[in-house]
Amino acid sequence: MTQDFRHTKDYQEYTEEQTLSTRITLLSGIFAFVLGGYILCLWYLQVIETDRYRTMAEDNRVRYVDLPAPRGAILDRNGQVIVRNRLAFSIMVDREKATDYRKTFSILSKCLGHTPEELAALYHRESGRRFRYEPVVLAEDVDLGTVAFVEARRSELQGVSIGVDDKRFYEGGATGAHLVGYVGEMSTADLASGRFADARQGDVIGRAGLEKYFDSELRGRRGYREVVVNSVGREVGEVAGGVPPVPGANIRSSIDLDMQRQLDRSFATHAGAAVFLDARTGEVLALTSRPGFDSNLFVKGFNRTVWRTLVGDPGHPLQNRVTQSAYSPGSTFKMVMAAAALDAGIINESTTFFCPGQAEFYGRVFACHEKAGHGNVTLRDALIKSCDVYFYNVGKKLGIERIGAMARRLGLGSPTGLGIGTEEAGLVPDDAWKRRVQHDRWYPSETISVSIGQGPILVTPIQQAVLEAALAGDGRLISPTLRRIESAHGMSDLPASLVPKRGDPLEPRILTAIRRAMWGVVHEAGTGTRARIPGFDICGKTGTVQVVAASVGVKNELELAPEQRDHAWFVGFAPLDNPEVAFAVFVEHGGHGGDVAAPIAKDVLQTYYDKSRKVPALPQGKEVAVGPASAAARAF
Amino acid sequence: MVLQAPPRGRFDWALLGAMTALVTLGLVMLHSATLYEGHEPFRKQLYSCAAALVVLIVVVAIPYHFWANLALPIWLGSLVLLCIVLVAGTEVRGSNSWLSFGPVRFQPAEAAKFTTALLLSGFAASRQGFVLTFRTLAGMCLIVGAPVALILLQPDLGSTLPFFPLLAAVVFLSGLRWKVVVAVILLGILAIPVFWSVLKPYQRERVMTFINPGLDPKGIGWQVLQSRIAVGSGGLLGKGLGGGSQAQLNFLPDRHTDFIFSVVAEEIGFAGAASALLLYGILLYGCVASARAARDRLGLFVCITVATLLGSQIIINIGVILGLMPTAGIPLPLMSYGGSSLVTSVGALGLVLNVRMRCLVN
Repeated sequence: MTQDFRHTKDYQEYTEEQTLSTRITLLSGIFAFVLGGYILCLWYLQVIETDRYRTMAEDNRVRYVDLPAPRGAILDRNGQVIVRNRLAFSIMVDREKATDYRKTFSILSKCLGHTPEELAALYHRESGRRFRYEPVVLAEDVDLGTVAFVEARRSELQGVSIGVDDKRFYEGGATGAHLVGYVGEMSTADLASGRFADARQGDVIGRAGLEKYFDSELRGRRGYREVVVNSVGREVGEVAGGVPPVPGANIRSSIDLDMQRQLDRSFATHAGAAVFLDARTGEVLALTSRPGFDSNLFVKGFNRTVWRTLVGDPGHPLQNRVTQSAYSPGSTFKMVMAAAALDAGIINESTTFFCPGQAEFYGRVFACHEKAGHGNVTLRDALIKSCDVYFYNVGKKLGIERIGAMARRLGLGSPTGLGIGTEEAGLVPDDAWKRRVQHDRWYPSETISVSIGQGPILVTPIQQAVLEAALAGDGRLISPTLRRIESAHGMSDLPASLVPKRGDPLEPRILTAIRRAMWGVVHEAGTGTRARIPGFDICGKTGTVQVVAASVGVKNELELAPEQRDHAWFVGFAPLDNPEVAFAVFVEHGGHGGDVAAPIAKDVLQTYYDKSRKVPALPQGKEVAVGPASAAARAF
Repeated sequence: MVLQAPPRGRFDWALLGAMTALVTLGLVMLHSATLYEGHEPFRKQLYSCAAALVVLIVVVAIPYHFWANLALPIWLGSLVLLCIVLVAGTEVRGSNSWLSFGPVRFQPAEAAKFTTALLLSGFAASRQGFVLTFRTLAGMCLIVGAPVALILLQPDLGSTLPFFPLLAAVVFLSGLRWKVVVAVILLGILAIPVFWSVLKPYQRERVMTFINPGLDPKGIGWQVLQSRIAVGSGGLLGKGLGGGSQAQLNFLPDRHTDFIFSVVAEEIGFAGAASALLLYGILLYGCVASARAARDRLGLFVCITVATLLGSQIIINIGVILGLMPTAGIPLPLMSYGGSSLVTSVGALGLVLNVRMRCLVN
């Protein structure tokens, strides 16, 4: 046995077994190593990093669904609805349920006014922008006929549903459009401004009028639901949590809807503006600017064509003439003149001037509107007959500075702070203004023009109404407001805090003189007799503003083309004792103030009078259910 | 010959126990994963369990040499099935992987894995000496290559993956020289570009999104991410059976088949997932122990091939779930829903039990 033991069969087998065993160990080592590594990996993911993944899983699982807050309604002072929400129905297709699109589009085309191809194109365009679980809206704000058509074919229209939504509805349409305003979707600029804490793209905000004035209260606060969604985003359940939306408040405005309607009715086709205030509190009872627009036009979203039509209209329907247009006051300025003169002690009630029909001042002849002249006139006669010569003389004695001071004291030349939209300040001239703007000194002859409200003096209708309220009260200025002022004490005893007044009172003798004269304008042989309401002592003053020189010498206004006719004013308050309402009516190209403007004022005041006098008490309007209108119909 | 050596080994109760535990856990998780989709899959899986039990008993009862002698016909049979599936298969997700016999659906590729393992074991055990000849190597490549080629024609790249570790393990244990091992590894690395050019666009996409999941967070990478979220959010003890939001709300793709382990990790947490991995460890350890105890090379190779097949599938499947590998489409043995995989895996483990029962030394 000299053979090397290494060559023995046993030994070879032994080493083979050894090698095999090593290799098996190596293989099982690989498995053990990897499985051990996996356990470490699980430890890392599930124990060390678990919070991170838990958050990610939670984000996967929960989606927050916005619950928009229904916008509040706007009511008039007695609870009548001016603006409310209405139900808007839309036709939607749920992509997870819809099956036969060709059939669906072909049926829907019969009621939606589109060809099936158009619907298909719309569907494809819209579906690209949304998650799969979000239904595609094919038609918005459809009428009830369409809803009925779709409902009746529910079995054929797989996956088609009807969405219910709140939309703004303006009961009056074009009535008081400038007052009511309109809503619009928030712009990117609004969202970026940071003024709206929880605003989202697509939120609706008030853009003008009452809608804007009360916006923060009307809007309410959005809520949200927390829903469990699956991987394609479909809701599969709801979790506890979420915040219900806080509906916007129903706002009671100062408006009297009956007066408002009457005002718009009486204006008919005239252009112009008018505002009626509660003379004691400054509450706006009615306000209109003509021509207007239908606020409902803005509800269906921004429509370029509608917008362009409105902007391009030569009548400027979007301009709120109550606050944004300043006009010459014409003869309505004579009350300011009277107040200034009485206050300065230049005249008293029995001071007379002789009116021969015209007068010469500073080498220029100034005519009275009455060519024959008024003869000897007192202040009272001068206001009733609207004698120009009387006030030329008063103006000459006063001088522009004292006229301007009284005008400013009565609120002219600065905004009243009504708060809807921008407001013009108007213009009260003086020497400093002339030098600043026209680089020339003030000529005394200009004062003569200003004395009858012509020349460089401009007022807005709202300023006129506030001025009349001052004359109706104690001479201090009330702040006009659109919010109904409610007091437990009743109208007779409103706490001063509710009705802040500005400025200093005028002497009662001054106010009495002016008021009595204004009563005479309506009730004696004055210029405003067409405003007379038996039993309601309306005090007023007409004003006629020359538009072109052509009107001088023309007896009958109707001979002139409409755009050449004079502007007409009728301002005042009622009744004489303890005045309640102050007003200013302005009719563009309306001719003589007493002919057009006074009847409009009369109509509205008649409505007020009827409501407040003939009925024992102001009807306390029932609170109308105007809340989330859709709530009842959601089960639809 | 069979009767010469009466069973002297011990029955491997640990392996049987681990297997039973894993199948049971799989059933529980399947039930939880399909809570809201009816009990149809659960019921089917119960039938599969019954079938697997029958197969297990039959496989264990008859000595493994009997099966090894039948290896060639069985292997050829599975190749025939793979051919039939190409012609008459039911297409699922772009692959002709399924054969339908009435209500019974069957994935021939699953069977082919184990018939190939059995034939390969017999072939490796039959040769003499511990030096791998080229001829032997070619034979082994043929045995593995034929089913792989047929499966690639379906095409089902994922199912071919376990064949490669199988071949590698057998070649390695048949005495491949270390020099060659190193050379093959190097060649493999060099072959990656070639392999890459063969891949289909969607397969490349899978690999790319695996490397950078941010590429396509809502597409393929999304699956990887969602699976990771499921695992991570499970925490130490999990969200409770039926309480996994990822699983129950459809965020997990194929959650009752390839991604069942994500459900385990999410709903019973680290405790459950690590336990399952330990059970798989016991299973594989049992296979290796049986290999060492086997009375002949055939027994050794049978156990090692079964361990390699099961082990590589476990590693690939859980690697995908942990986000360590691109999505491969490989079921988790014993736990994933699917009768073909369950029956063949249990059958294979039956062979291992068979070897252990009939070894010479305990």
